[in-house]
Amino acid sequence: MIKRDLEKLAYKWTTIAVGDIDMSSDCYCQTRDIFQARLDKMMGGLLGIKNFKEEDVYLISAMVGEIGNNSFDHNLGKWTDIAGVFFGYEAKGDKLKIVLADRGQGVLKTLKQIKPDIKNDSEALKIAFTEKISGRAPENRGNGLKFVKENVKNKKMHLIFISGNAQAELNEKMKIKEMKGNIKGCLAVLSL
Amino acid sequence: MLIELKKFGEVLISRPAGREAYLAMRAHTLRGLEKDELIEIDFSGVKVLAPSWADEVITKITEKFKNVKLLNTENSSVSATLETLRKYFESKYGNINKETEEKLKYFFAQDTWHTEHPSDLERFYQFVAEAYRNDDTNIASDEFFRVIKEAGKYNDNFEDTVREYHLRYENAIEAIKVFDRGKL
Repeated sequence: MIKRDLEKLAYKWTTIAVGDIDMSSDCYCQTRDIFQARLDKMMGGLLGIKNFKEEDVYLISAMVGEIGNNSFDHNLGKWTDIAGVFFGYEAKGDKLKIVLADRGQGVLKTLKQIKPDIKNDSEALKIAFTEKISGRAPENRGNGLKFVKENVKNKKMHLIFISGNAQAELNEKMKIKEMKGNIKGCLAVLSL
Repeated sequence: MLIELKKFGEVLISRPAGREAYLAMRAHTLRGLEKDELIEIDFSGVKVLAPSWADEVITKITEKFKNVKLLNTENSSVSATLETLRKYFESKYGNINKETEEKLKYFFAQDTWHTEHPSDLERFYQFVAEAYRNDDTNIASDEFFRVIKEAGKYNDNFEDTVREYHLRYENAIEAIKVFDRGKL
């Protein structure tokens, strides 16, 4: 049963004042280890639901792992206030919704370190999902979102990814538009 | 040398975990090996593999060793991650042009690819010509294995034949280079 609106909860989590954040929430993963443990728990739970194919559960887990770990990789020592990610999921019948969010630097600020000419959040999202990003020696970081994008397309999933005032909507194609609000960090909603 | 990734866990997703795994491999399994040693990476038993972990391990191994073979890559997250590595990362996986790969896949996709039938050889040399046009003159043998597996035509009995065709590709590329030099 879907008991709560995870998207609203995550949006609120990224935008409210630090003092108002519920640090005891079971969706809040302060460290990578906690995130990993909850991801393992999600995978185990989904494998027990006959509506989801085993292979799809593994692929979804890899995608979610990539998005969540991206938050930790890119914001280590640079969180704007609260360290960690918001991670929640809901399954109903053959529908699944997974929400991840962080209060980190956001895609624009992160990519500006290697591409200083990026003008705005929309351009940053486009680059993050489409361009090969190199030059971050010694690691080839920053290509996880292309992996997510390819699999959203191949498996006919749906992804909303928001950072700053830009929103990318992905299914078979990708559309990027500006929003009225502004997300501190990133917010991702993966549905199938 | 065989590396069984399941010994590092069933769920391989984060960059720090990948880094730790590679350090362990470097200190023990890979220690003292020659650059041209055959390294077989076995993915059987791995349920979830993400690009961050793979970048810390697979990319580094392929950069360090010339002869890397990937085994049992059928799992959905494993094949998708390797595809991402191949497409986006600056490793040997990224060196093959899309048009070249399509020609090679077209050759392997025929049931008769290994029979030396004139039509099959024509397809094979079409691939070689495309590779030369696209400057894909140094394709590793593991790319041949990856492509034939993706074409769904691989079984273990074909291992030597695939290697033979890889050698044939290398020789043909050398011949074209000599021919081209003669034209100058």
